[in-house]
Amino acid sequence: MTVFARLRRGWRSLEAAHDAVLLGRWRRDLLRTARRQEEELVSLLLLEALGAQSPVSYYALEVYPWLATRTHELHRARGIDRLDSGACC
Amino acid sequence: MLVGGKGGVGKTTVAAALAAASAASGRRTLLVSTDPAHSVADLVGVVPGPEPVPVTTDAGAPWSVLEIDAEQAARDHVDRIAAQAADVVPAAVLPAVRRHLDAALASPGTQESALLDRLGDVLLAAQGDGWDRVVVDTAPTGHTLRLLALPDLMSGWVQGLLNQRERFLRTEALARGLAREQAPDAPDPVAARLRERRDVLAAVRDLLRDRAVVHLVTVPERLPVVETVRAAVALRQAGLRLGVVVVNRVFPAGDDPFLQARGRQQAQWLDRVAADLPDLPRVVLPHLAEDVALADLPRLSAVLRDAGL
Repeated sequence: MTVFARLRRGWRSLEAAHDAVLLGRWRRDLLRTARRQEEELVSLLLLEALGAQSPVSYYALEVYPWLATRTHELHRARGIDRLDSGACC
Repeated sequence: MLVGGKGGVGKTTVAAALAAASAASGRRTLLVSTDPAHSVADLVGVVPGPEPVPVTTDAGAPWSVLEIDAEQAARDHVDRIAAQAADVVPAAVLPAVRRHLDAALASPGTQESALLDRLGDVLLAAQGDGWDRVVVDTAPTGHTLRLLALPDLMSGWVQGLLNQRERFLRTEALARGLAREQAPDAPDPVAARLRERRDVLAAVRDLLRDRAVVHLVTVPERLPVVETVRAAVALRQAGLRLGVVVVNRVFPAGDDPFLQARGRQQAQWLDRVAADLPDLPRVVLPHLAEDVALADLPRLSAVLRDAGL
């Protein structure tokens, strides 16, 4: 193996390590933020389920199918077995 | 034009007379009833449904009437969503979705929202459907006020939800970029629907603000007059244009002491309307000797036409 090829391989593994450590951490942070932001939207859409009035709950229903799975994961993750409003389980 | 006022003051009669007057001026006119009491059917003798039905009177040009069935509209809305859910939701979560939708259908605000939603659709489609004028017979004042202020409030609220969703999508896209993952082909369905909804609500809000005029109906008695004055203030605050105050059921002059006493009292409340709402023209409709019927409409609509309506 030439010196050049070894250098290149060395650089690649360095790059991969950098990605795994730094970018990976950044990415995990971003995903966590995204998850929280998505949960915020679900909460806003399901205000009724939390006992607060929302003026647009009628229209919130329209996007509910796409968020239903997340709603389910969300309230389970929060340790709530069932939502009394019937919004989920 | 929207016809509002306290319950029982004759909104439906005035709305029908306005529709007749409008048709008599050669406009293709649609009367929309949002009244859950189905008063229009009792007055005009045809049972209106979700599609316009023509009303023909012996005198005067024909016009059409449509009644919004809020219950049915809400059911349709929920059924549409349920059908969509069946395509996108995992089977395990589907029963929960159905339960949520059923619960929403039964909740008290839903019917009101459904009514407003349908009314917005009818108003937005009116021009394309060939109507020159739409007369809306609204539910009693409190409801109407809320109803008319809602599109503005709701479009802002939906915009807030949309902003939130877009923040999430940006964060997610960034995370995906870091992992050198491909962006999804289809645009986000949640953001797409919110955007669509915001645009419709904004269109209804603009239409109400720019093209609608609210005529207030009252009778010359204390409570209806006080409520009318309050409604006028609130409607103006909500950015709606006011037309006239129709003072309905005004007694004729006569020698009878009862009529005279009643007349004096009515004159006092007519003065009050004039004093509190000086910039609104008043149109006085007579108290009829018998229950109002379809045959009376030409006479009432003639008074409204004379007033320039």
